[in-house]
Amino acid sequence: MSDSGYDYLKKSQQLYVPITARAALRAVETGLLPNDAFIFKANSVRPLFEEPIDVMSIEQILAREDSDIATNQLLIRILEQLLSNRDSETALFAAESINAIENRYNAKIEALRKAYASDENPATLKLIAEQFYELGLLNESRLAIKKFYLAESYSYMKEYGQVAEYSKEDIIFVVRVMIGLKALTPARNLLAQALERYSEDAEFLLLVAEVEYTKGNFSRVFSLIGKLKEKWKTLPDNVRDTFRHWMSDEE
Amino acid sequence: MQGRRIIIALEIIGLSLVIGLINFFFAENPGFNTIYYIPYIAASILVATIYGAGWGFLTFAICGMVIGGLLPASYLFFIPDWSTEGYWANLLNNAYIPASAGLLAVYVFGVIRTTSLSGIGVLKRRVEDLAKENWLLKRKSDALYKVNLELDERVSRQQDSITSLHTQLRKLDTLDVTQALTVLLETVQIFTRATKASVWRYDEVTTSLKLAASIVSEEDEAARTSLPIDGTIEGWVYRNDNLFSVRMLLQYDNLEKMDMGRNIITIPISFERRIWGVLNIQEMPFEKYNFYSEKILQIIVSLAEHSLERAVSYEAIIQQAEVDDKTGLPLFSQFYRMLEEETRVTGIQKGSYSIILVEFINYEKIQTAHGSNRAKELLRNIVAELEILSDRRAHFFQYKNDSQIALLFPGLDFDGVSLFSLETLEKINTGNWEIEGAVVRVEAVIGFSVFSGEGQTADQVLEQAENLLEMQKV
Repeated sequence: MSDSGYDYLKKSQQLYVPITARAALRAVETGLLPNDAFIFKANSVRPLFEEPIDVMSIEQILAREDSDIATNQLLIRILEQLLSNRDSETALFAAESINAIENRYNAKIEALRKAYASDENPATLKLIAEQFYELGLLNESRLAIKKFYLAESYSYMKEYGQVAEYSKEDIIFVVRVMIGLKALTPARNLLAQALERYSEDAEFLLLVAEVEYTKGNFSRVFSLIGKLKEKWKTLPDNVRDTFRHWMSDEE
Repeated sequence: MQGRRIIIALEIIGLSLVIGLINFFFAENPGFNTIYYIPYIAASILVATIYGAGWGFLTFAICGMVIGGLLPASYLFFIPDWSTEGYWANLLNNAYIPASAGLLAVYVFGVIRTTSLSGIGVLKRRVEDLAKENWLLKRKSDALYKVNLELDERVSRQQDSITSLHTQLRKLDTLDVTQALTVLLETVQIFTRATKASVWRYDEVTTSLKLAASIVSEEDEAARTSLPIDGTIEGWVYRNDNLFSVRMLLQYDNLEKMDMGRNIITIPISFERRIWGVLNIQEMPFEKYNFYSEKILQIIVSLAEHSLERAVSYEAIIQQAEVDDKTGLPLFSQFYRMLEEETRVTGIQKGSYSIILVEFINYEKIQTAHGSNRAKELLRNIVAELEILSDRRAHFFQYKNDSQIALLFPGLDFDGVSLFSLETLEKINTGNWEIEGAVVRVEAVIGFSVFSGEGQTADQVLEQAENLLEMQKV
């Protein structure tokens, strides 16, 4: 017990109790608490999804307005679970929080729409499409709503395609939207065009493989992944792992 | 720097001229020699204090020029009968001591100024260094905080953590097969992000695989509920006790013939080397189809097997027809069968188990006041709380009377059952029990016994618990 951290823990009840790691850091900076307070608080994080769900941690993450899509997806998943909580206050909190997350997206979309109306910058259309795509991902459990948002995302990308040329990233994004919409044949056609333009690009090959995989056409997946062997030297490690797994290649 | 020097030089010349101008009006006292040249010397000392000894000496020299040159020239120009006779000799005679003292004072004050300035410079540099250090520390602290925030978010976002697996496995530990399979599929969903998965169990009567549980997407068409053992990948996995992974289609023609696009990963579920059924992943994201997912699925199934086996064994003993329709608790006949089975199995395993009999001594009063149905509803609520208390490890039954319940607790020895009995009594006696919003006081007594092998029979274990229960009532 030579570590001073244990001394802090022993007397922590008599000291100021910070709720967040940031509050602990500020308290350490002002000399209110020892360093161990921040170390302890910062290291006491646990996965949000772990039961019993810690509503306070959810609130903290929810308060950050710039959370990425992965975090928002997780929050929605947990909040949807909390909707059926026996405690009505918790269930209400969950409903309001889901609403708040969706409203953030809607506000961003409205702002972008206004910006587009004034400057007619095509790049804004892409940003709107991205926001709709993320909204679609957030509604994974509500298929009809998900499809609606993805369709909106697609329509904005289509509009963008009429005024500007798709870059490689744009094509990948549009294909992702199409996979989400289960529009697999148009996705395959778009990728076929892209492969002609980018001459058998590994990223596109993998994306075609994904489309075929989603269609359940596994023999086509094998032949597409087999083609990656030709580009072995340029492949990143994760793609090499995918190749090895599909080809049962132990080398 | 150069500009500043010129300004200082002009200031000094200006100051000397001002003193000289004042001195001009005192023609009888040139250089203020009667007061030892103090104004001029004071000006030199002042400049030395402000700008340093060098500037002080310069002031001294300029003042000398003013007294020795400018003043007599002015007198000659403005005062007609003024003569320079004896002027410089008189000045010199009176200047030795004040000039020496003045020069010394200029030097001393100049040195004092230089020393104090260098001291201030050291302090200033120190303050600057500290401020810079503080700024760097602040930046470092902000950067570390941002890193911490990112790590914090990564940990928070973790869904497939070992702790999550543990939580799920604890949830699996239920005696309800359907519930256990639902949790199994939920776990599979968390760790592989599978969107369609199902569990199939072998049905000996129809010699086919029957759908036991599944997760399907909203748009899914009516799924099949029965699969033949031959000609399907699920059947192949069941028959061969082998994992199937979609990449195997490339290697085995027989599997390719059976493929209906329904299997990505299929894993056998077996208890004690006997295959019970299969877990099939029908749809999962492309990026999740990898070696890790295959391994993690095998680990999940392997860890779930023990709980599933318990639930399946329990299901085999408990028949749905023999449960109390209000409390949902299996009846005494089921309890006795389970007790005999537990005695047999625990006897072989050289382990222990405990039984606890709980009698609600004011049950009749409650029944009279609120009716039989409400009383049984209360009983069901109490059992639900006790299930949580036992961490869902105990099996609950209706005992011989409506007012009695029995608990069979595998793996619990004497110390454990004593403690659990005390906790049970505390829970029942201090719980906030209500019927239609009205608070109900529940009184209970407990009898328990422990099976610890040594040729004990189920009857003997039961008798001991009943005896203890009777003693409690006295």
